[in-house]
Amino acid sequence: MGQLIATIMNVMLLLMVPLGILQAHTVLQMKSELMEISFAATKYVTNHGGRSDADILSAVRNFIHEEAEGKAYQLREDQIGIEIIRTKSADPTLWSHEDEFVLRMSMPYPKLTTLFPEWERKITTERTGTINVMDYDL
Amino acid sequence: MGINVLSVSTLLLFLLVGLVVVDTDIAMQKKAEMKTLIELANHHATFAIDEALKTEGIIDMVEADAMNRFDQRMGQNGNYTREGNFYQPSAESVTTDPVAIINHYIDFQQWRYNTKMFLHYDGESLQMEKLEREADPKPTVGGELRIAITMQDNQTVNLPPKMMIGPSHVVVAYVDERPLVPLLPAHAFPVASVEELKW
Repeated sequence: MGQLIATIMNVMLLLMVPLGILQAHTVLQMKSELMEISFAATKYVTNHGGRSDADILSAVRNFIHEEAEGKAYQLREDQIGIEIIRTKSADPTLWSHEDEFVLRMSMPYPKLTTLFPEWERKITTERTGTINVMDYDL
Repeated sequence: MGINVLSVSTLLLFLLVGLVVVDTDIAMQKKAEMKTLIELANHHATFAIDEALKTEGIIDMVEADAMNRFDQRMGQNGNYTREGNFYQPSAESVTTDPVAIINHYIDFQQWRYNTKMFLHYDGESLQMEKLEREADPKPTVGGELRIAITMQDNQTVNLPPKMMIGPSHVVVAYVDERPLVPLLPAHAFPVASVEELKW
């Protein structure tokens, strides 16, 4: 009997290892994808500028929608939180030449189990960019 | 006895496989992120235009300003601080060892020539060995820039060529990291960014 229990425990322990690896792999991959998509979004804002704050936010949302559709990403678009603010501006509304902005993106931590609800951390990235579009091109 | 040996060795095998998988993930993440950091920082750097020359119709860059702007962005986006020719990572940075960098400015008189940069990484720092510039310029288009990096083991990496469409600022970084555990290979790779001046 003891033998049998020991064997079952053994197998369970053995299974925990691949699960842990899978968890680490998923988190790393999600983080990489979020970094990649936030870089692409930063580039997009950099090269396109915008007419107003609302315009920029919707343009970034659209861009991320297209990116998430076009590429084989594991991350889900509706889980991504976006925050974009200007840190240096020449004009009160236009986002144009040499304005600087910070783009923050976050997503929930991917979890294989809901056993530990206190692990409610988020994966975040923050990027600062400089816009390279002239007023007259907007 | 037999079952124990079997399960312990399976456990070790799983751990090894896991280590390799996670190490590969980390290596890929580092490479992508380093490229991103260098590109974003160089983009910001190339806004450092010489205003006095600009009024005379010449677009030139102030190299010291550009590198200050570069440092600023490396700090904001990647938590790196500059120490000589190295970027020192902090705890939040994507790499753990200092990253060697080198920059080169191709100005308004040089960008129409085909150019080849030969760099050398000696295990410590990155140096420019020589710069070859073809004799005749391309009057309508810009020159082609090629970068070759020779490593400690005398292997040469050729980075993809790039057509210059204006005066350009080139930054090359060489990441050389100790392995996660001694039995895994080290992560060593160059990344480069070529950006035209923004004006």
